[in-house]
Amino acid sequence: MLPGAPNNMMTNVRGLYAFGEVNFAYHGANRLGANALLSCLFDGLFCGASVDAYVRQEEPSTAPAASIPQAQYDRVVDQETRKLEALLGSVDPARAADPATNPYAIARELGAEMTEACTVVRREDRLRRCLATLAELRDRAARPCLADPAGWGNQSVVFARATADMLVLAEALAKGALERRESRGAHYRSDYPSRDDTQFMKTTVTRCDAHGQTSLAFEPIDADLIAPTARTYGKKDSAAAPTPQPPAPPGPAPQPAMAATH
Amino acid sequence: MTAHSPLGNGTHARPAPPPQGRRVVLRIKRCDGPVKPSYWQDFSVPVGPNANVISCLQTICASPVTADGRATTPVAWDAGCLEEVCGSCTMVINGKARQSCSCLIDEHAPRDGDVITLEPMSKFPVVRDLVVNRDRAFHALRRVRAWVPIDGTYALGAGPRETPQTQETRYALSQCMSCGCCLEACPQFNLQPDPAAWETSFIGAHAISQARLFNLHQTGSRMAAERLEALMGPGGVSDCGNAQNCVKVCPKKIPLTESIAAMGRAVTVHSVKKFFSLA
Ligand SMILES: Cc1cc2nc3c(=O)[nH]c(=O)nc-3n(C[C@H](O)[C@H](O)[C@H](O)COP(=O)(O)OP(=O)(O)OC[C@H]3O[C@@H](n4cnc5c(N)ncnc54)[C@H](O)[C@@H]3O)c2cc1C
Ligand code: SF4
Ligand code: SF4
Ligand code: FES
Repeated sequence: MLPGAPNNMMTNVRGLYAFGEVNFAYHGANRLGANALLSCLFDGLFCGASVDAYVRQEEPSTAPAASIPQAQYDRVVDQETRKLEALLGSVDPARAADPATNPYAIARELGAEMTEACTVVRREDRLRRCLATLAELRDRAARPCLADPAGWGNQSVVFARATADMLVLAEALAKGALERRESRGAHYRSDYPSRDDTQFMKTTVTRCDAHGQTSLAFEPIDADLIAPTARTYGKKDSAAAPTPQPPAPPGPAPQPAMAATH
Repeated sequence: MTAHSPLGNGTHARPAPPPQGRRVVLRIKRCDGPVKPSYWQDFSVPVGPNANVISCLQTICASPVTADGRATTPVAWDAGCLEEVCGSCTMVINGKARQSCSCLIDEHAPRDGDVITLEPMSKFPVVRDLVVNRDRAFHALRRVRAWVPIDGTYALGAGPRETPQTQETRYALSQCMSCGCCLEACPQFNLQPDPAAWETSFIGAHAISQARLFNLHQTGSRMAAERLEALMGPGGVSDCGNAQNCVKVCPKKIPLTESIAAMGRAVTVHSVKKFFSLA
């Protein structure tokens, strides 16, 4: 990140920046308690100049929004209107209470599944089952049946759309947890309780295509300036633990010390 | 997502049947949109341990059927934090304004078949069902400039020192979440859908108390006179009839009548000074 470079924290939508909580950057595998605002402030201080540079030097100055053909806006409005109409078209009071297609019921199952499989302790077989459940839930969420035809204050339409987004995020999370066969930061695998820098000192990058399909890749981390060491948070007895370590055989392992992530 | 016992059982089977146990009746005052007529509907909701009003409303959305078995629309409600700090879920429960997220079913309807009534607050325009528009409560905060004037464009130097005594007073006041309970309970604060009238209608206990909070802040006190001016005019602190309902319903136990008295005195001093052109 170079100071003032227009692309600092710019998303893949040009001109759309992700500052603050939404990027969860800078903290690596674990955000220490009470450090979130630090990164929010950093984004404002450091990357604010990037927005300024972008506005002055790039598209906004050379091709302002007013010069974009109206048809381009209309196309997006049409696309979103069609999504809305599809949801409103699904309204069927007779079937609305069927948990198979009710978004609130689907979201509740999603919450229960993610709580069980993807929170504090994670394990290969459970994560695989979770991904199978998510596929089933996504299938159901793709053909929802709503109970509210109203064009005003219709919360189920918003909720149905949010549920679909939650499912994409849930899948990204579960896939990442499955593929990262080690324990690091707040990610604890009972079948791989040790940190494995040889394989996994990498950033997980999840991409979501236009159809909501997620794919996973690992990107190496540049550690030229600061050599990685064991994170012991000042604890003396475990400070001697060498890093990197080979993965330990699967089996029960002690709970890791966990830092709050607020 | 919710404190309610989840329906999912962690396998990819269909959801488990609702938890065995008791049901309560949610009697809800509904409304399809602004100025549309209100109507009541009963819902029989299965409740597990730790259920609260919001989790019951979610259960209704997952199965929008009335107690007499008729299909209906899901009930609309508002919520944010789910931990009684944002105020957005405020509604009238069994006749009293409070937050629905912290309203536990076991406390308010402990037996099988008990009834809980839910109504939107009556002092704000209804958006839909239990959702109201609290814009006027926030407008009142703008009237008294309930903020500290720093915009980050210049260095202010070291932060002001604060005594433990002021800190203690201010901490209590700072817990206000603009929920509107005090306004719902106040006989002087009445429904006013027309924003043009907000500038001169009663400002409400919460805003008076926030004016005190920011006048007690060393940097905030730079705008003390402006806040007192706002409280001097029509709809200001003298419109309070001292009914003391507000302080009884405030979920954060904010000493509202103390604030009203303090600001009443400050306004008097300010107007005397102004009369002699000292302020
Ligand atoms: C309980 C809790 C305790 C915490 N404690 C600490 C702590 O002690 N120390 C610490 O450093 N951090 C703490 N954090 C984290 C910290 O509060 C957040 O990281 C920080 O507030 C995020 O700020 P933000 O501006 O990036 O995002 P937010 O404050 O989340 O702001 C996002 C804004 O976007 C708006 N929005 C969303 N969707 C749309 C849309 N479609 N259109 C328009 N607007 C939209 C939202 O309404 C919201 O106002 C805590 C967080 C929580 C939840
Ligand atoms: S003073 Fe109390 S009741 Fe009034 S808005 Fe604030 S928190 Fe709510
Ligand atoms: S004391 Fe004043 S603000 Fe409080 S309820 Fe009574 S009239 Fe309203
Ligand atoms: S949801 Fe924030 S107070 Fe209830």
